Amino acid sequence: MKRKNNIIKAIKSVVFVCIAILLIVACEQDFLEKPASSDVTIDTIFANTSNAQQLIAELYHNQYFGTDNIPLNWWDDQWLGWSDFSEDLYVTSAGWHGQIWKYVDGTLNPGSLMLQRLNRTFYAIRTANIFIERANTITAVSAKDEEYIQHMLGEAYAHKGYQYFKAFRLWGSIPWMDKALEGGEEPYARMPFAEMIDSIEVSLDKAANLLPNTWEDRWTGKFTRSAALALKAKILVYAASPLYNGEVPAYASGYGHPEVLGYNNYDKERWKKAADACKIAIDACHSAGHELYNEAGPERNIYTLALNLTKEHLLYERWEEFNTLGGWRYCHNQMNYPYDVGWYKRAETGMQPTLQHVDFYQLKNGKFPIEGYSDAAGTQPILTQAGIEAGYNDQEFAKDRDPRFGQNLVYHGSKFGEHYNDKIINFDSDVTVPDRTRSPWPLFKTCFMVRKFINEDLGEASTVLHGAIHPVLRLADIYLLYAEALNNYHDGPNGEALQYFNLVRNRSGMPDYESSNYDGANAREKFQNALKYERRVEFFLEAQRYFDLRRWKDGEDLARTYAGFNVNNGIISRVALNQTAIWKDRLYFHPFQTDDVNNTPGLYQNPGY
Amino acid sequence: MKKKIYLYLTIIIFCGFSNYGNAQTDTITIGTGEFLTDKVEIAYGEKQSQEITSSISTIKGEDLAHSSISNLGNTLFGKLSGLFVNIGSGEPGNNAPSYRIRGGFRAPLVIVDGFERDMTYIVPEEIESISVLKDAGALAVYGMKGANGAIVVTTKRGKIQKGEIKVSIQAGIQSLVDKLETVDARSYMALYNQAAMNDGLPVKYSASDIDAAGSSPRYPNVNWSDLVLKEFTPIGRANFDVTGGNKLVKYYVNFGFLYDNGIYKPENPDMNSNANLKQINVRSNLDISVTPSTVFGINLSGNVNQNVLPAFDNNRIWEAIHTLPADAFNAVNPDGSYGGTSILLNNPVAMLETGGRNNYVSQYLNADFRIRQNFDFWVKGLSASLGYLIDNSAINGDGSWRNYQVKQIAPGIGEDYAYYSYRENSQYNEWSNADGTRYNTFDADIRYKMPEANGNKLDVMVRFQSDEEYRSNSDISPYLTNNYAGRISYSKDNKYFVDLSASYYGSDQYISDKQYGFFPAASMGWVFSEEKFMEKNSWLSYGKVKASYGITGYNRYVNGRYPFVQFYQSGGTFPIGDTWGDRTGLEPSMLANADITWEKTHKMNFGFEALMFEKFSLLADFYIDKTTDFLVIDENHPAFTGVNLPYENSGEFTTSGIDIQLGYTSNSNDFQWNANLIFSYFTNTMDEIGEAQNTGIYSYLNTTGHSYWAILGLEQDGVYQNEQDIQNSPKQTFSEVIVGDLKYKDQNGDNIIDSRDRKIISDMHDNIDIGLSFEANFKDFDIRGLIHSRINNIVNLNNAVVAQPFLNNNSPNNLTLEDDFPPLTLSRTNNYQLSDFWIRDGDYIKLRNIELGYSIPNLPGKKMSKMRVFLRGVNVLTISKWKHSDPEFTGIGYPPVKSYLIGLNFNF
Repeated sequence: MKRKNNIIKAIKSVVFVCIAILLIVACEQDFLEKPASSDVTIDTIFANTSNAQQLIAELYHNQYFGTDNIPLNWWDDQWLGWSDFSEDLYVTSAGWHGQIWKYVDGTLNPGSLMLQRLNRTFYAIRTANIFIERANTITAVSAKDEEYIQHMLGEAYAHKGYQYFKAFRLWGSIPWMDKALEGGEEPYARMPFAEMIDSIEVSLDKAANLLPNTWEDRWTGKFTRSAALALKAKILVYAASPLYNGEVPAYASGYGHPEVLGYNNYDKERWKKAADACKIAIDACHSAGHELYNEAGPERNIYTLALNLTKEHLLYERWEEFNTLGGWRYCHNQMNYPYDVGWYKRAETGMQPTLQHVDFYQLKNGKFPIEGYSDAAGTQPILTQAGIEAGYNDQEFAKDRDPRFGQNLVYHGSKFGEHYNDKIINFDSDVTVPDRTRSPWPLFKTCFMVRKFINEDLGEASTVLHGAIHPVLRLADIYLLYAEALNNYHDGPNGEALQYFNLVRNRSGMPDYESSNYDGANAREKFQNALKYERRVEFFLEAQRYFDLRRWKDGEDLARTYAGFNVNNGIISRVALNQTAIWKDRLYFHPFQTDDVNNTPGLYQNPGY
Repeated sequence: MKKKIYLYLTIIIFCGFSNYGNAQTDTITIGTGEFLTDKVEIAYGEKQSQEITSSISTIKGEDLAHSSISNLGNTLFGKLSGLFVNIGSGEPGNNAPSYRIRGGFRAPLVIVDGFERDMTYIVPEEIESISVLKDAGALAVYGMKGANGAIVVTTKRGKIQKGEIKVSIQAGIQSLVDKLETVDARSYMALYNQAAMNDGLPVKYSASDIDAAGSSPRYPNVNWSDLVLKEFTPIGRANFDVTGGNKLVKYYVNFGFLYDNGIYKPENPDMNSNANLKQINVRSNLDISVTPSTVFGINLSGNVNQNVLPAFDNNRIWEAIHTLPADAFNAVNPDGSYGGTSILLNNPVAMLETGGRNNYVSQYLNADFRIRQNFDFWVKGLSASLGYLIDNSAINGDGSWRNYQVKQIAPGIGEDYAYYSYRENSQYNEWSNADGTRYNTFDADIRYKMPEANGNKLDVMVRFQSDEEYRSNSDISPYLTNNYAGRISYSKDNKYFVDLSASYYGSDQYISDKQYGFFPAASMGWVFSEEKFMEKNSWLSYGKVKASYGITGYNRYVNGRYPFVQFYQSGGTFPIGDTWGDRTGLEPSMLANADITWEKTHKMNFGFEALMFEKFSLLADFYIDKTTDFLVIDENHPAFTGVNLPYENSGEFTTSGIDIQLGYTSNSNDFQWNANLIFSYFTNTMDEIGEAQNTGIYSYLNTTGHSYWAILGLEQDGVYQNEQDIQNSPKQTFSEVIVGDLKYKDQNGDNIIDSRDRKIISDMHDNIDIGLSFEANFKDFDIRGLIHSRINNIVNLNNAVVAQPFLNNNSPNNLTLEDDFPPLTLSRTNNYQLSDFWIRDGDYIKLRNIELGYSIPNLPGKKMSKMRVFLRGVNVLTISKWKHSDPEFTGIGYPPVKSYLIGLNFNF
C-alpha cells in the first residue's frame, strides 16, 4: 500500500516535471540565436566598391608588400633586412642584429628561427584570388565605378604576380594557386619553374591591360600599367639570368625535382624576351611621365631621391612619419644617426659599412683605386695602377670618389647636420680628442655609418618628422636591367645598352662606360662587371644586391672577411674585424621552414638541406 | 552607486538589530568528529559526507580566517586536495592568485551561492564553506562549464537564534617576501670591465673611476630598491557580522573594511602614487517565510574598491628596481632634476614621484532572489523554486600620466655640473574609462526527496538555467547559455549509493544545429564498513570505496564570438596618395570553423574513505582525465592554403593523478590538537596538439607526447675548457664563444648547434602540492598554522632579464656572482639561449601562516561571549634551494608579500 502510494506520487512528480520543462523549453527556443549585427563578412565586402577596395588596400600593407628590407626592424617577426648581410655591413652580435648573421655564417637550415615562412606569401595570394573570383559580383553604381572595379582587378593580378616574384627569388617555384582555398587540402605541388614564369607573365599582362596609366591623386602609389610592365620586365630578366636559364647548378645535381629550380637548359632567346619586355616597360614609363631624377645635381641626386618621392619611383612603400626616435616599423633613423649630432643620442649603431664595401667605390674618373687584399683579414689593400696614379692613401680615402660615395656613407671627416649644426664627423677613438661624434657603444667598430635614407634634417629637433619612402621599383633599375638583357643577347653592349647605362651613371656625375676599367675576358663580361658595380652602388640598401648576386650565380661574392677603420688622434689605420661571411651554394635556393615542409605534400625541400 | 550602497547598508543593519530569536551558542568543532555527518556543498545542493559518491574536498569558512587578509584566494594554499593555488602579485588590488584543479588547463568554474561569480572580494568571515568539485560525478550538472573543476563557495545564512554579533579587527605590517638585489656601483664597474675583457674590448672604467664610486654625483652609487621600496607598509582589516532570525525572517549580515597599502617609498604630496586599496564589502542574506510552505530568499552583496596605482605600470617600475645599474645615474641630480640617460629613461623615483597615478573605483553589486514553494501538502518531499539573478559591476578608472625630463651629468670635473637632458616634461595626460559587466540569470528547479522507505532513499532534482552575460560595456552580443540538468541520487541501507546526473547544455558560440551537448555522469559508493563482515573490526569505524565516470565540457571562447562565421577585420594602415592619407585594409580574420565545438573531458575517479581508531581520517582519490576536442590551432594544413588558421578541436590530453587528505584529531581535556595533511599530484601527456610533427631523427623536436608544460630548449654539455675544446666542438651559431662559455649538446649530430638541437629539457613540473595544517588548544591558548610545499617546482630563468647582465643595459645581481655563472659579456648571446642551464630547482617549503591566540576567560558582564587576542604571521618563512628571490615568484613585477598581524575577536 505504502509502495503504491509512493508510485503514485512518483508519477505525479514526473508529470509535473515534464509540464514544467515543456513550458521552459517553449519559451527559450530562440534564446541562443546569433543576433543580427554589423559584422563584416565576404558579402558585405563585395557589396560595393568602397568596401571592396579595402581588401585590395590590405595588399599594400608592408606585411605583404615592399622589399623586406626594413633595416633594423628588430621588433618585428621578420628579423632581416636583405641589405644587412649583402651590402658588406658589419654584423654586430647583439641579439637583434645577430639573427641576420645566420644568413651568411653557413648555418642556415630549415629549422633556423629567422627563416621566412610561406604563410604571408600565400595569405596575400589568397586575398588576391578572392578578389579575382568575386570582382564581378560587386555592384557598380556608375560607369566610373565600373572602371574602378576593372582597375582594382588589375591590382589583384599585379599583386599576385608580385608575390610570386618575391617568393621565387628566395625559393624557386612554389605551388601556383588558381583559386582561394577554404582551408582545404587539395594537393598543389610546386609548379615547374617554366610554367610558373609563364603564369606570372599572364597575370601581369592581365594587370597591365586593366590598370590605369596613372591614378587620381589620392590613389597615387598603387600599381599602374607601367609598374606592372616594369615588374614583368624585371621578372623576365631574373628568369633569363644564369641561375635559372641554364643547367641545374652543380651542387643540386641529382636533385629529384630540378624543374622547380629553373629551366634546366640555356636559351638565349629568353634574354631577347626580357630585353623586349624592358623596352616596352621603359616606353610605358616614359609616356606615363616617369623619368630619371636629376634635379638636385650629381652630388645630391641619389641622396635626395632616397628621401623624397620623385618621378623616378614606379612603385614604393612609405612608412608613417617619425622623428629620430623611430617608429614601430621603421627605425632607419634611430640607430643610424651619428652620435652627438642631433637632439637625440642613441649609442647603438645599426648599419656599419665595412671597407669591403667602401674600398669598392670608383674614383670620379671611373677607375677603381683598389682591386683586392693581400691578406686574409682584408686589411692590406692592393692598389690598382689607377689608385697609385691618383695617389690614393687611407688618410685621404674619400678624395675624388664616385659622388655616390658621400651620398651613401657617413665617414670620418664628412659633414652631417646641414643647416643646423654642420658637424664635422669625427670618429676618433681617443676620448680626449675634442668634438668627437663617436658613439660610446663598444660595438661601433668600422668607423662608417650610412647616409642614404637618413634624413639629416631630423637631428634638428624632435618636432621634425620624416616618412621614409622605400623604392620597390624605380626607373634606373629598369634601365640597367634593359642594358643587362641587351648585353647578354648581343654578347656585348650595343649602343642602346650603353645609352641607358650611361644615363644612370651620368646622372651621378660619373663618366661614360669605359671597357678598359673593368675586368672580363670579353665585351659581355666586362660590361657585366660594370653593371655589377653600378647596381651595387646605385641600389645601396635597396635590397637588390643579395638577389642580383644569386641570380648571376655570383654567391661567392658574399664570402668576405670584414675590416674597418680606426681613427686615433686623427691617424687612420685599418683594423681586422675578425668576421668572415661564408657562402654556401645551397643558399641559391633558400630552405623552406621545416613545419611548412612537414605540413605540405608536394612542397619538395630545396636541394642541400 | 556609492550612495546606494551606504543606504542599503543602513537598511540591513537596521534589519539585523530588529530581529530577535533564541540564543544559541556557537561551537567550533574541528577534525574527524564531523567526518560522517558534515554537510558537504555539492552542485546545486548539499549532502552528508557519508552519502558522497564523487570527489569533493571541503573546508569550513572559519578555517580560512587565520591566514592572509588581503585576498581570499591567498588563504587557500595547501588546504584542499587537488586544488593548486599559484600566488600572484603582492600589489594591493591585484593580489589574487590563480587556481588550477587537478592539473586543469584553465581556471576552474567559481560558484558563489549557486551562481558563477568572482570570489576575489569575499572575506573568510562570510563563508560557510568552500568545496572543490573534482570529478565528473560532481561536475556533470555544470555541463559545458565543468571540465576544469569547480570551486563552490557558500556564504553564511541566518538561523533561528538571538542576533549574534561577531567582530574581528586585525592590523599589522607587510613587507616583500624577497627581492633580487643588484650589485653596488663598484662591483658593477668591476664586472663590466670583466665583461668587456671577455669580449676582447678595452675596459671602460679605470681604477680611479671605481674608487670614486659614490663619492660625488658624478659617480653615482644608488641602491635603487632602498630608494624606492619601504621596509614595510601597513595593512588592516575589520569585520563585523550578525547572524540571527526567527520563524519569519532569518538573516546574516556582514560588513567589512580592508586597507592595504603599497610598498613604494617616493612621495608626492600633490599626487601620491603609492599603490593602495580601500575595500568595503557588505552582504545580507535573508530568508523570509512568506507562508509556512513558501520561502523567499534575498541575497545581496556588494563591495566598493578604491584602488590607487602608479601610472607607470608595475613592470616598468620593477624592471628598473631589478635591473638598473647602481652607477647608471643619480636618482635626483644636484640641481633637483631627475637622473636618466638616453637609453635609461625609466628612473623609478621619477616614475613614482612625477609620472602620475591611476585611480580605479570598482563596484560590484550582486543580487539574487529565489522563491521556493514546498509541495508537501500535495506530494511529500516535492518542492520547486524560481530564481533570478542580477549581478552588476562598474569599474571606473581615471588617471593622469606624463613623460618627465631626465638629465645626465655631462663629463667634466668639479662641482660645476653641466647636463645633457633627454625628453621634455610633458603636461599630465588625463584619461578616464568606465567599464562594467552585467549578468542576468533565470533558473527554476524541482526537487523531490522521497520519504525513506525500507532503507531506500531517493532524491531527484531537475533544473533549468538560462544565462545572459555582458562581459563588458562594449559587448554588443551577450554570451548566452542554457542548461537543462538533473540528478537522481539513490541509496539503500546507507551502504549502497548511486548517483546519476546529466546536463543538456547549449551555447550560442556554436552553429545553430550544433549548440547543445549532453554531459552525463554516474557515480557510486559502497560503505563496506556497514557490512556484517566488518562489524567486529574495531580499528576501522568507517570505510567507503567509490567510483565515478562521466563527461564534462568546457565552452571555450576562442577567436571571439561566433567562430563559425568568416569575418573580415581591419588590417594594416599605410599612407598612400598625394597627401599620404592613411588607408586601412581589410583582411580575412581567422578562417571560419563551422564544426567547432566545446572541449570535453572524460573523467574517471576511484576513491577511498576511512576513519580509523576514531582519530585518523583518510580520503584518497585516483583519477584519469581524458580531454578530447581540445581547441588548438592545428598546424597540419598545407602552407599554400593561405589562411589565418582557425582553432580546431584537434587536441587530446591525458591527465592522471592522486589526491590524498589525511587527518588526525586528538581530544583530551586540556590539550586538543588536530592536523591535516593534503597531498596532490598529477601528470599530464599531450596526445595530440595540432603540431606539425617531425618524423625521423628530428622527432625529438616534437612536443606531442610530453606534458602541456614541457619546455623545448638546448641541453647544456659542460663548458668550454680551452681553445682546443672550442675548435674541436660542434659550431655554436648563437654568437662567438670563449673559454668557459656554455657548450650545448649536438642532438642531430650535424656539428652545428642551432634550433634543431633543442629537446624537451623540462617536462612535467610544478605538479606536487603538499599542505600540513595543524591546530592545537591548550586551556585558553590556541595555536594554528600551515606548512605548504610545492615540489617539482622550477625557476625558469630563460629570457629573464635579471639573468642576462649587461645585454639589456641591466645590472648584475647576486645570481651573477654564483660560481658557475657563465663568463660575463656585453653582447655575446651564446650563454643566454633557452637551455636547461637556466632551469633551476625551485622546490620550496613555506610557513604560510602561523597564529597564536589567547581567549580571555571569565569575561566581565554577560554581553560578551568571547574575546580573543592573537598574533599571526603570513608567509613568514621560506626554505628553498633557490636563494636569490622568492621561488614562487621570479618574474618582474610587484612580488608577493609577507605580513605580521595582531588582532582581536569579540562575540556578543
